[in-house]
Amino acid sequence: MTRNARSKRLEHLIHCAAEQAAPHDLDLWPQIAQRLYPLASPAAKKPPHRRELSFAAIPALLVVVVLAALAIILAQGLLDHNDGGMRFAALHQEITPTISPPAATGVLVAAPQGDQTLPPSGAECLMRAVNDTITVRVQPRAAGMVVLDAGAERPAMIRQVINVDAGPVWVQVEAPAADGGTVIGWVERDTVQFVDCTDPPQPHPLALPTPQPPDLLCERYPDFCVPFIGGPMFDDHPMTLIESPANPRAPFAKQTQFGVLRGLTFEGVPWIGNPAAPIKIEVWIDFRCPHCFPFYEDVLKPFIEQDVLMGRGQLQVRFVNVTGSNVGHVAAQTVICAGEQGAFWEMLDATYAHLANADLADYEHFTNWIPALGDIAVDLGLDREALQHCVVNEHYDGILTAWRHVATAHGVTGVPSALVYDPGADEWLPVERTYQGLTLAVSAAPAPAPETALVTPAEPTPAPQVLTQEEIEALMPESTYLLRVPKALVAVAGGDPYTLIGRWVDIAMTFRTVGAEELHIAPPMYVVIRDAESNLVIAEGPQTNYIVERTYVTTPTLMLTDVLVVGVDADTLVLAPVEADALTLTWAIDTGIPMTFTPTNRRADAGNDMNGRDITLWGCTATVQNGSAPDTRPLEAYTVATPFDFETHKGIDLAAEPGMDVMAAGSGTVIFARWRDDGYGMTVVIAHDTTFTLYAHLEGTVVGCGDVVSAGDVIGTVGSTGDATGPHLHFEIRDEQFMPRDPAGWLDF
Amino acid sequence: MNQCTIRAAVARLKRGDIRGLEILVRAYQVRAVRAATLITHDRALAEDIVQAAFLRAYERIEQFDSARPFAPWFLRSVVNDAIKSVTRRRPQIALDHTPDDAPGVAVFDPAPGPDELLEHAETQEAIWDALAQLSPEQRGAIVLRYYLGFSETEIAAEQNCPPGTVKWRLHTARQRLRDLLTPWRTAQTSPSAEPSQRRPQAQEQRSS
Repeated sequence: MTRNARSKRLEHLIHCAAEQAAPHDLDLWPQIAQRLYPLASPAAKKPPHRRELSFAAIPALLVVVVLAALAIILAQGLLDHNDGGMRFAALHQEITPTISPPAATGVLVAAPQGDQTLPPSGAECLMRAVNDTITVRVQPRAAGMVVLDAGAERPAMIRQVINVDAGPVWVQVEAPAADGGTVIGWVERDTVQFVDCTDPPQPHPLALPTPQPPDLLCERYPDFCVPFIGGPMFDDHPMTLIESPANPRAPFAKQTQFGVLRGLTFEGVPWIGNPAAPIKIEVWIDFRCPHCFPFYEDVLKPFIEQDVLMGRGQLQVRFVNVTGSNVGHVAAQTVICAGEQGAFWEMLDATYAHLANADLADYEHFTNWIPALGDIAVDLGLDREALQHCVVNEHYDGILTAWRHVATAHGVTGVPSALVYDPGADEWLPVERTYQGLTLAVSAAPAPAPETALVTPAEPTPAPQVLTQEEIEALMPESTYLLRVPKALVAVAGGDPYTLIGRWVDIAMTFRTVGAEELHIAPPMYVVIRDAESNLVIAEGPQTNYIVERTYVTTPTLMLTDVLVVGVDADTLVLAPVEADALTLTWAIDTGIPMTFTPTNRRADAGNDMNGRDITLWGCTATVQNGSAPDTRPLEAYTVATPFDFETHKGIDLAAEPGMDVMAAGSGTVIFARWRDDGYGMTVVIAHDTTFTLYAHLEGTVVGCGDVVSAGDVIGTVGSTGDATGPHLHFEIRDEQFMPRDPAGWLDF
Repeated sequence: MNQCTIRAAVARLKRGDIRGLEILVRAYQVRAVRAATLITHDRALAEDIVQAAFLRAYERIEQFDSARPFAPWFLRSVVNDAIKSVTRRRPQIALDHTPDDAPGVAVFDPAPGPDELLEHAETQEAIWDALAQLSPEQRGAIVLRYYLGFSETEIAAEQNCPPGTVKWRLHTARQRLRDLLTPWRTAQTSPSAEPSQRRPQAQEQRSS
């Protein structure tokens, strides 16, 4: 016999043995359905004053039952089992604590009554059945169980009908027990017949309710009904699309008595409060961390009501799921999604309020938690379908991931955490997460700006044309940064590049504006760099062409680093990520640093239109004119070769025929048009209103620094200059901070 | 029940509709209980395991990739649970024999005798007895391979061990089955047949 045949033979033997193992008409479904019920029902919470009679308790109960009745009753019970084809359906046997020993350890099964009809189930109809009386019999749940008066019919009152929305429906009935006590049990809806149920058939249990026009009720949440001013960087953010200053979701919002507004930060973080207030507070919370409930109720909510909404501060809330709980993750997404309907703060509040009163064990399973969130949203008047779509499709999963990185960068080690922004050091500092801690931080902040400033948010102050040195310094006070930088990256302007001073060097760097005739985005500065320990000046001098960038590096190895890169004359002086490794900085030098032109203490200008401003990039200075958002694809025919990736590929590669015209993606001013040694090859950068577009690996360019172009104008041709393996256009979109953005998000490649 | 029905049932379950589970239970409960019983030799325990596995499938259906077939995903969890349940309560028994010199030996051939029916019945008893003496892991491998029809690669992927280990486990299981069944077979056939029965195997060993 071949091996194959022997295998077949063994297979045959095993199959024969298997057939012996269990009959083919085996049916586990009734048992599984019973065990499933507590999982599937959102309303399975048991009355706390009753105890459940579990399987484990049955043996103990059996000993107290009259043994003499055993044979007769058991036989009767078994007979009843098949009576009229009734199904055993009860799940829980509950008894009142006063009954001892229990009068019945069986199962209640409702008996149909002749004059009752069974219309299609309807939730409302079923609910109306509460307090109706039906006839039930107490049955033993399984062979071996003892029921004192099994089979006797008795009237029972319907106590509650649950799970009407999610199915299967269960009916709880209460019946008199033989000893005069009460027995309570669960009966499957199918075994109970209801009269006068005329409700139309219900839709699928999980069908979404008919969407209602969202109607955010200001009267219910008057506190949060304040004008929405959108966000500077998120014109295409879903929240700003749905709610904008021009299209407020809360049209009857109370006016800005305290200058209180809502909006999004440039990172998409919802904030509320007075943007002109001298203090910004950031709170990190989760929906499952045990301390977050008292924190919200006792600290954050009073703080919002008594300080934030009184215009004394600006609060932003972020979520970080440190418990790893799915429930927390879904809740965070739901609350952010509610922001799309203008109700971030309302949903936050309602979710915490709900959870504070809920038994969290109920929400161990999604099937219970998601409908509960939906109910909260409907209560608020939100569009449940839109919300569910947003949550189910995880629109904000990426944002939550990004926030987790930011949390680490901000030094958040747990939730809840509260941080206060220190504008001097441009960093977030932890504060005590108590109401006192937060209010102390508010009190310690300088007095709020005058009322007039509060109601005109985000508009740049018109710059005076001529300022004296003192006036400029008053406007932009001297800033000193204490940095620790790797030695290899300290270079002295005009001296040898990369003078080595030690493995690490602590330096103090001072920026001071000098001699500016016009306060613009890149004022000339006088930079002094000195050794912090010895106070010896390492380098100093007026600098008219410098860069300062403070950014969060999100690659895993650098996640913890709050980077400050400073360059003077772009290629001669580069300073530091703080405590970053030397490789990073080498990279920064070699590849060209992403540069922005906002000194750190002028960051408040972020988000403003660049039109009319002088911008300097890599040696080219020009006044931005004609700037408007990119709206045109730079090539007529292309194939996307490499998509955008924030960490590894800061633009999008569009493969195309060499020599094909490259067009300006939007109107604006050419701010750079030269060769770059860092792999970009021939490169053109155009400054638009709030963004830059960059075109690299060009074969050649027909524009120069300062040229004003319109969308669609030819600026060069496709090539493969620099580090390119074939002809393609490397196209980037960068924001005002010169941070790369996904071009596909702008131009639909 | 065809695959479309099963897919539809999985889709319903993914939407939270428990009726989808009912379809799956009805479709797979018999195979699952049989497989688990073959491993546990305890029908009641097997039913418990299968019930729990269905409940778990319900809870974890969101993690299940609908593009894949449901049966292997589900049945392998049943087999794993069955192995675990016997392993937990098993007294310490060293069941793995020192294997023969070469892997790849096919299982013993219980040459069909003249009285096919009687033999069949007795073979079944014998195979039950023999299975009972395998280690739970060996039983699991045999059930996956010969009852549920998994390939060795699939078993390896499932049990998270190298294919070589699975081959070895199957081999030792077959070997052991052969050893265990030999006394029965010898009793049914002429003792003189033994050498001639074994010889081809030896040849096979060499050629494999």
